[in-house]
Amino acid sequence: MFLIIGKNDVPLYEANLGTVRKEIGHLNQFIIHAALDIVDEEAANSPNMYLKTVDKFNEIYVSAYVTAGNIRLMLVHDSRNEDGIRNFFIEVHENLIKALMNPMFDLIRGFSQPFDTRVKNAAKRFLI
Amino acid sequence: MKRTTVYDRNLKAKREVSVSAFHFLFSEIVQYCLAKANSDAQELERQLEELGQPLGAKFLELVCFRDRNSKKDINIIECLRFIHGPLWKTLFNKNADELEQNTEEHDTFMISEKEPSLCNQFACLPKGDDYLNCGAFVAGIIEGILASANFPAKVSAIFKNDEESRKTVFLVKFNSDTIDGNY
Repeated sequence: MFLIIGKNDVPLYEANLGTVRKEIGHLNQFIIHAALDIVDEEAANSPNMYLKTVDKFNEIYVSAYVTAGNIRLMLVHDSRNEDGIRNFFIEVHENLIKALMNPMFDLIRGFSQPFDTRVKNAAKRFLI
Repeated sequence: MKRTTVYDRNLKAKREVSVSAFHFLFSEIVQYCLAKANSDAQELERQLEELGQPLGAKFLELVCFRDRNSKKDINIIECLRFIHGPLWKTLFNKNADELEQNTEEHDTFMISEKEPSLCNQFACLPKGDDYLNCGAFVAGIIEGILASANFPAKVSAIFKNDEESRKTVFLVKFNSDTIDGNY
């Protein structure tokens, strides 16, 4: 489960990338929500965008990446794979900036289908 | 046939825009705002600032990614240095002229730029508006950056006349709670 959260705590994008093997339904959402406070605290104290694993719930980990403009990328996963996740975040970040640079881009209408395809390709390459 | 999208472009390739193209567009923007503001100078500045703000947020993301290898600034001074250096270079291909802190009010910083600066170079405004500064657009960009980096501040562009030269000073006044937490 992967989620992009905007500056004002608005979810911008959500995708199920199969990074948690066990079927846990909507528990994902709660786990990410619970980790948000920790992410904000760590982001304020670290110059790195990639914050590694910020939270843990039983066997499920939460990794986060916070951009300069405080857009948070959060990934819920059940296996440790720090480098892969870092590369995945960087790839998504790059595509995210490209989407934001588009003057016609509208956060309310959300990301277009090419963005979605790119995120899923990145997930295939780095996470699975 | 495969459609090319914005995602196929290279983000790190720097592109330059000719000054004349910029001035052509910017003069139209100013005229448009002037008509909308009924020639009220303060209203015009406010509109220019408003146009600049969303750009600030985008530039922060872009320049951090391009030049800083995905590191970000976590305190006010670093963020201002970033604006003074890398950001100014991206926007105007040079560093800003000066960055100072007000000696009396610690929440106030000044970034100054010698005239003629890019936005005021060809500004020819109605009489009586001698305090109007088209740099308000750049002030809006700075404000957008700081707001996006979680250091909300009020930025205004003002003229300052020295003996030798004329300057535009971007006065950055941070909200009091921003200063308390980060300084």
